Amino acid sequence: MYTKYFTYTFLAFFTSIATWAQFQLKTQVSSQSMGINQVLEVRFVMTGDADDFKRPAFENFEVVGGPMQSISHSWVNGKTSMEKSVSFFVQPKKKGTLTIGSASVVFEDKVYKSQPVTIQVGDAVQEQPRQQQRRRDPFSIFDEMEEEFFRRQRQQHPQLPKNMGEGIHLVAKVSKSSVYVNEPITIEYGLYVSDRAGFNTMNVKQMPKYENFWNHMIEEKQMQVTRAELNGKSYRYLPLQKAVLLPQKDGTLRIDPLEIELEEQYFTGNVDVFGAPELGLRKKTYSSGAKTILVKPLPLDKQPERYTGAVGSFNFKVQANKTSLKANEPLELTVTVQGKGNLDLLTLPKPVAPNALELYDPEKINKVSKSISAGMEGTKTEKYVIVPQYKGTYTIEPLTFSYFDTASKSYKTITSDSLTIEVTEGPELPTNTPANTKAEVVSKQEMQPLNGSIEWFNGKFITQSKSFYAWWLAPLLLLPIVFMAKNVSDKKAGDITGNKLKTSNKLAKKYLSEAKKQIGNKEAFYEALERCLHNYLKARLKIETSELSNDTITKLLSDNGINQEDISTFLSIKTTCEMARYAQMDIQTMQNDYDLAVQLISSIDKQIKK
Amino acid sequence: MKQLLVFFLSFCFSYAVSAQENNEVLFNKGMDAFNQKDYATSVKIFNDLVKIDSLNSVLHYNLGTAYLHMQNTGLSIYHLEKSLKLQPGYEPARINLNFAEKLKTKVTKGNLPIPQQQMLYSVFNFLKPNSWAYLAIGSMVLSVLVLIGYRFSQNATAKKLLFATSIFLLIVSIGSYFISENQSGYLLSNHYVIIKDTDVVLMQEPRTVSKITSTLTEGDKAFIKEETNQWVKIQLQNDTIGWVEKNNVLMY
Repeated sequence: MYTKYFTYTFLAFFTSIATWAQFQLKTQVSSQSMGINQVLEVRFVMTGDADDFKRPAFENFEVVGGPMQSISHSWVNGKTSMEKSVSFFVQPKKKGTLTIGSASVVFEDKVYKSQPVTIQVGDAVQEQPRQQQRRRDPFSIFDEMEEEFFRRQRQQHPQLPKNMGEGIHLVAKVSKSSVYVNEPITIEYGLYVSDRAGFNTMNVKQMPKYENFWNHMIEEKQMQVTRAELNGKSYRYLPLQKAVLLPQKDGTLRIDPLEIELEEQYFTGNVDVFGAPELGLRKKTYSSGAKTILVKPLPLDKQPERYTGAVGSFNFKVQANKTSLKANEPLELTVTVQGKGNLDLLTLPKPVAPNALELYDPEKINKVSKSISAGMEGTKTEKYVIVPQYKGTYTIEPLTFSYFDTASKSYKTITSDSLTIEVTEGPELPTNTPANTKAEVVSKQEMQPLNGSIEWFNGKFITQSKSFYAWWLAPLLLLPIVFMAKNVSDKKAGDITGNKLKTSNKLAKKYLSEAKKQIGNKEAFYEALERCLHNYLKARLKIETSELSNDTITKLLSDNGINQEDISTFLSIKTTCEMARYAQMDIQTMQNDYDLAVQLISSIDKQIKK
Repeated sequence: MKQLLVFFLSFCFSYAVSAQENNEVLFNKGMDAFNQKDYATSVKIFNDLVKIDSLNSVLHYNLGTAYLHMQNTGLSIYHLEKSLKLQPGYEPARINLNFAEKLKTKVTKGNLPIPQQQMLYSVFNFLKPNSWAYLAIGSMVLSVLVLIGYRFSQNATAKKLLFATSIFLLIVSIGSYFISENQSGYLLSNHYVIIKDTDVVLMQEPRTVSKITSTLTEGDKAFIKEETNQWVKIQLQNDTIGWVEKNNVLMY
């Protein structure tokens, strides 16, 4: 029997030594013995950041406060140590020796348990209240009477609440804890006060700052107390602050807690002279606890081209108040987005109008209501005034509005219809080339209809094809063929006239060149002509004599078979030459005589050849 | 054999005629659709016809006008400009082009350079390029005939006259050939671009990652300075020079 205890003790000692260095879970109680009316603080202290804390059952106790967590780090001589504690306030349910069971935590995948603690609970003890009791004004009789009245009332309900003052909760409610960037969420801080609790004054110690959020407070004209349920119990509910928040960046964002200090009422446990329990006041700080919001970034891959950052669900409309008007009359074009989402932060698409329409800067109308139920809701409108300058038909291009639909988690694009504006009266649009008066005259005309008469071209340029060159250059090939053929046929035909002409020219050149030079100079010409004729005869007939009489010439020529006619011509020319020295001669006669001589020579030449 | 040839020729001829008739029917359909204000159908038909007969100024004019009624800025300006290029001084096209330019969202001012070929083209446009080509062939044939006449003539004066005539005709023939070449070359080459879409960017260099010089609007006209496979270097009306991708522009 002893050995068994010994073993247990040894084992307990041993394990406690072993775990001393790394991790410890201890149970601390505010006192080992207490009265039944007192509250006991039980702290579970661990020396590391353990998870999965399981509190003991507290079978014979009622938990009136907690769990409250506190964490402390300390750095001593370069060593860090950490202490984490969870504390509860419990009140015993009965007298006697009661046991608080062991709590358990998980640290580095090991389960640690705390030692059970026994508490002696005795009779109720009178406790001095920490706060001063309400001072009584001896002269305020009415106050006393009032209090008296209240006490009477309370006495009618002798079942006094046991733990008056416990049951105030400060709660932060967030509409969504996982949202997209720019998706509106609402946060509401409220105070739940149970029927058994009450407070006098409230003092805000710390206001949340909403970092990384675009925030908009929802102003309430009046704080109204309503009834609400929390954890299945009925409470009085007082909303403290409501806000619409738009997360401005992605990631895990933290909303700082709201901290308030309440001066709360509690029962001291004493009973006043009239038998009614006494009320005390004490200050207590409540915190709503920090909230974390997981903000998802908008998908970038399917983002439409002209996305301007709208998130929510919207309707988009573009309307003109008239479509047919005169020049210089104003026209109102309204671009409206209506729906739920970050209306305050989105930008509306800007209409693009032809330059003949003057587009003025828009008037912006926002009707956005913020509420806890809907977040942000309403319409955003931009009113453009358009003044057409010139006559004509103009089109305002369709506008597109894209938004990220949080319900379907996809981008949606709404495209408005294109608007056609007809300007029925007004000046014509001046053309781009004002210097060209012709163009201006033209522009005053109507738009031209189609041309109904067509001349098909079926388009190939013939210079592009090779056959063009064949057709174009082929006639040139014809030329040498024709010319050669002509030459051949000429030779065959003997060509009398042609040959004659050619030889006579040759002869004349040979023998009469001297005479030809002297045409116009009477004496020299005829002298030369006579000499030339003599030379010719000498050359052709091979005569050696220097003197030639008419008779000799006649004889010589007839011997050579020259006909009578040519002989007489020769003689007549010779006579003319001699006569010319004494007679008047003009140029024409000289030319005639020269020509005659040429003919004569060629004629004689031909006959000599035969 | 001869029969076969005759058959073949008649087949070709009838085919050509039937194609022509078919086009005529389509053309009338397009006209009817336009008159019934069914501009989309009209545009479709004229687009088909323009594909068949791409250098017909009437077809381009009709297509551009139909686009104008559909308020399509870029394409309407392009086809009307093209019609004016094919037939300079075609008044209805000029008028409708003024209307089309009203649709543009931005007014651009300034003048673009005019290619040399264009001036020659408008001077000699009284005859079509193919007529010039036929004239070249005809005058060449005449020139040769006259030269043969010269060879056979006996009279010296007649010879001189015939020779001079022949040389003159030869010059006419060669001249007409070069004019025809110029006219067709001008029509087949591109000198200007029309910007097809809005928000087309003008780059400093012909690369997709380059400094952006400016943003262009639909219907802007620019002069082509240089061309590569994908890019074209253009000069805008405000004398800005830069590169745009070819698939963003229409060239004519």
